[in-house]
Amino acid sequence: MNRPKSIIDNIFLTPFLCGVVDVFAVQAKVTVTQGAPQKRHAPDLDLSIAGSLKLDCEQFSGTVNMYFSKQVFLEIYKGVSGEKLENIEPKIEDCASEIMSMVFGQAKTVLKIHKYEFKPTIAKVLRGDEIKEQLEKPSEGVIVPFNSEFGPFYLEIIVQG
Amino acid sequence: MFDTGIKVLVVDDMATMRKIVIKSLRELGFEEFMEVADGGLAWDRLKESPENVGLIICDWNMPNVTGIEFLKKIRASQDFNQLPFILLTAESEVSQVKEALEAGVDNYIVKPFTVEILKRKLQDTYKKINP
Ligand SMILES: [Mg+2]
Repeated sequence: MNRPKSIIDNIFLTPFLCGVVDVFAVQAKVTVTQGAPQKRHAPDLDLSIAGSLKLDCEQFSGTVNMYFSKQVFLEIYKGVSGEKLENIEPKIEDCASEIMSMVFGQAKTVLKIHKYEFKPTIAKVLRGDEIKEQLEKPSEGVIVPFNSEFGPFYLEIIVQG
Repeated sequence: MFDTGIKVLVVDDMATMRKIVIKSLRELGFEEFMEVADGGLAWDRLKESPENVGLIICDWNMPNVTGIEFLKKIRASQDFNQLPFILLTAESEVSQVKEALEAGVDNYIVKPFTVEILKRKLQDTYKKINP
């Protein structure tokens, strides 16, 4: 049996966007505002780290990523942990994947109401060239800019297959 | 209220989340912690140095030994089956919560969470244990 084609519509996207706003407010005490969703493209900004998670269920197959610049990431880390650092040290990198999995957790709860049953998954961290590679993948998808007092960051959903 | 003089075993595969949990517990007055990255390591550490451990706060989704597997091991053990056990989860799903309750969890916290939520969950937990 063929899988239905993965579609990113408002029902699918909105829970992720609300998840971002919520996770940042609660865990990092940072207010963020959402920009307009756009067709996937590489943002014109130096992105240092990302949280990445596979999305897999009957109706959808793809990936969700959250990309951060060094400055924004360090400020967010300070918000969640209380610790101010000058550089993204290896021990704090998993903050990116933890944020990604919290956002997904929020979205998953809402999407379950719409009958999306995602398979369990563990978020991973992307850095350096992995980010470039991910952004340059020619797949279909959307990218949504968010703004914070420390600068912008991005949520991207990619469709696979 | 809860006793902040005990040692808390904090189990999460993400160092950042362990940091968040410990920071929040410190704000509530706790001072002694033991932190590990999965349920298998948690079991080893607990057996090695069980002194004064009075609470387990444990992530659900971890590689190797998951939170629910560790919980089942704790509840089946003679030495530790009375330890209050709180599960941390990023997925507020009814089916999961049911499974955790059946396995003997005392409470659960959905990530993201604030210090106030943690405090309330701890109060509820200890009220249930010592009514
Ligand atoms: Mg985890």
